[in-house]
Amino acid sequence: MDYNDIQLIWDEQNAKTLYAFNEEAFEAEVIEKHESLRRRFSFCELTLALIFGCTGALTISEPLLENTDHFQYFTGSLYLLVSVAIGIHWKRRQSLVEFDRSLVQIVDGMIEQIESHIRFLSWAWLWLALPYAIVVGLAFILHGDGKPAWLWFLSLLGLPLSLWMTLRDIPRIHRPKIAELHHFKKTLLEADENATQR
Amino acid sequence: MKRAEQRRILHSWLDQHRGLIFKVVRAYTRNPQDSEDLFQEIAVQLWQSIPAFKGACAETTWIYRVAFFVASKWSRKEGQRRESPEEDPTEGRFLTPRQASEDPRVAWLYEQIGKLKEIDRSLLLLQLEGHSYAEIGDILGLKESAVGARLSRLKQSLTKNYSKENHHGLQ
Repeated sequence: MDYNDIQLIWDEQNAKTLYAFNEEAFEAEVIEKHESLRRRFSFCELTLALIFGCTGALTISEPLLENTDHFQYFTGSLYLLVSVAIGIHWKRRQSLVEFDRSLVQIVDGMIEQIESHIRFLSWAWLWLALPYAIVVGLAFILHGDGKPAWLWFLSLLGLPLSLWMTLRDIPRIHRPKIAELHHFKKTLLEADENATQR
Repeated sequence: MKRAEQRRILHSWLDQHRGLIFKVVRAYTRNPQDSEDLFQEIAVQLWQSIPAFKGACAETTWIYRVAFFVASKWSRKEGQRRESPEEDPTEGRFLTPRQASEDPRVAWLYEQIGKLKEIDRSLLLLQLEGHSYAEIGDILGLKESAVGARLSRLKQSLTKNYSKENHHGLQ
């Protein structure tokens, strides 16, 4: 018995059917599954972009229509900028995993993609907390007279809440994903190392 | 890319290359339910990857990379489930295994492949499918020499196991 005999046994199965396959139903299910995943991932980012976009547009529209309070141009522009940044990030995240490269390179690319996403989220204090704080702070200085204290408290409460919602996925989803990909890369590279050592 | 075109390509890939996907699925799973789940995961990733496929590599190379990538991820994620392969022997909705027509020696081979480390599973499967060391290295991202050295040991071990077990009285 040598390897050629094993190869012959293996090749014999090519003449047989391993599975009966309901192709049409399967393809429809695959497409639906992919679409629902894509929708779920995009929903949060696009909702966030929409909220910032609408808030920005509303903030700018008031001084435009009434020709008052030019400070609102600044805050509205900040909101719109954040909305655009989230939109660009969403668009970039749509970039596809390309299998033109070897598996090791594909894994490297995916690690890089997730790390870039983590970097983006880690800067949330800049693109989320800072504009938020500036807007609330300036609103307090310019329009704070006579407003109830609970209103300011609620406005400030939104800051840690939105930061927490943005950052919580890093340890919960993204870091474990990176660890999993590193492990996969390690198993791939071990094959090379073992062969070199022998 | 238009959805109809993407659908046509998926249909064509599944039609022409389903044999190779089935073999990867069979090597990574132990029961029909898992086979169906993994087959579906691979197909979803294939569907998603279609717009990125520009023909820089062969279709089969692309499909192998997708299949191995998904299967490796899947086998770690589903590791817990694989501990009890007999828990759900029901048929899947889309795949019905033709176990009755499977040669017991082929089943033994899949069992041996299933016992190997992830990387060795991919290597042996590609070798059995007739790919050269250079092609295997290209698909997995390994040096040709590493592929040769590792496969040489795998082949020896497989042949030794087969002879030792004198499987089903066949030599």
